[in-house]
Amino acid sequence: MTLVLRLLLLWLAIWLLGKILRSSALKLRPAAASLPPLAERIDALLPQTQCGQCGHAGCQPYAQALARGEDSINRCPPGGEDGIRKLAALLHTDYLPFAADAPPQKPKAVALIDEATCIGCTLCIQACPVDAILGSAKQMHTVLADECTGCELCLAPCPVDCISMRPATSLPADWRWGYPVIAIKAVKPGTAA
Amino acid sequence: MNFGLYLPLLVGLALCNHCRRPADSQAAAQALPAAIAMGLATAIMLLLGGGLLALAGSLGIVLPLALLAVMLQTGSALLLASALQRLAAGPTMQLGLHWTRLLLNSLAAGLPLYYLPSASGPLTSLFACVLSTALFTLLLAQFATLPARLQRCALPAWLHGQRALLPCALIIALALHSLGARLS
Repeated sequence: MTLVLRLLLLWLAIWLLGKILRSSALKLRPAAASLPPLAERIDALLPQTQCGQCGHAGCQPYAQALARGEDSINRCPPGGEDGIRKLAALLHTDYLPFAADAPPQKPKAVALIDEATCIGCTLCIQACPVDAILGSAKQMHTVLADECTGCELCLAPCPVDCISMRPATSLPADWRWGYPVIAIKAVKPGTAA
Repeated sequence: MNFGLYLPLLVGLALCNHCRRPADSQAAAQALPAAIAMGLATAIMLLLGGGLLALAGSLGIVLPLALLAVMLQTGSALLLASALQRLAAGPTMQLGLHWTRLLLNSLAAGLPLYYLPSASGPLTSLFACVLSTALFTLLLAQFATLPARLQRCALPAWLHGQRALLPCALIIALALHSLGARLS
C-alpha cells in the first residue's frame, strides 16, 4: 500500500516537473525565434540619414559591419550620443565617445533649393540617398522636406550652389517669424528728384 | 534530529538555493517556475531515496543506516540530474537544476528524514517526506517572490537587496522552529 502510494506520488512529481520543463522550453523557443537578425536590430537604432559619415555607403552597411564586429559604435554623428548608448546596450559593449576624426554633430537640417538659381542639372537627384528631391532635366528641382534627412550629400554636386541647409523646424516651439527683408536700392545723389 | 531543527534547516536550504540563482533579468522572470521545479525535483529525489531504502530492506541488504542513506540520496540525485541532462538540457539549465544543487538538496533535505523519530513507520515517513518537500517548495517560492515584494517596502538603505532576505529567513526559521517543536 505504502509502496503504491509512493510510486503514485513519484509519478505525479515527475509528470509535474515534465510539464514545467516543457513550458519553460516553449517559452524559450519563440523568444529566440522571434528576434530579428542582429544587423536588422542595429539598423533599427540608426537614424537612417544614409549620410555616409560613418565611412559606409549607408545605415544598413554600417549596421552589418557592426553586427560582424568590424566597426565601432561611435561613428554615426546624426545618431548622437543617445544613439551610441543604445548601440552599446544592444551590443553589450561599453559606451564610447565620438571618435576624434568623426564629423561634428549638427542640429537636424533640411535642404532647400533656390528655385531662381536652379538650372535643372539633376546631379542632386542622383546624389540624394533617400530620393527626397523631385525634378527632371532642365526643370526646376524641389526638396520633399518630410523625406530629407539633412545628410548634405546634395550640396557638393550642385554646380550653381543653389542648395542650402535650413534648420528643420517641425515643432511649433521651434517656429519663428522670419525677419522682414527690405530691398535697399542705391540711389545716386544726382538722380533723386 | 526532530522537526524543530529540520524545518529551520529547510529555510536555510531554501535561502541558500535562492542566493545561488543568477541575478539577471531572465533568471528573475523564471524565479517562480525554477522554485517549483526545484521543489518537485527534491520531492522526486526524496521519494526515490525512500523507495530504494524500502527495496534494500526487502532485499536484506545490511549496511549502516548513515552510509545507506548517503548512498541512496546521492544516487537518486545523480540519477535525476543525468536524466534531466539527457532529456531536457536547455530548460534544466534555464531553471537552475544543476547537479550540485540537486545533490545538496537531496542530502540536506533527505538525510535528516531518516533520523526523524516521529517518522519511523513507512506511511508516516512517506507523509513526512511529502510534507517536507511541499514546505520546501513553498519556501523556495517565497524567497523567489520576496525581492520584488521587498522593493515596494520602505526599508532602510542598509536592508536593500539580498540583505533584506536574511531577517526574513530568520523570522520564518523561528516561526517554523516553534511549529516543529510542537510537532515533535
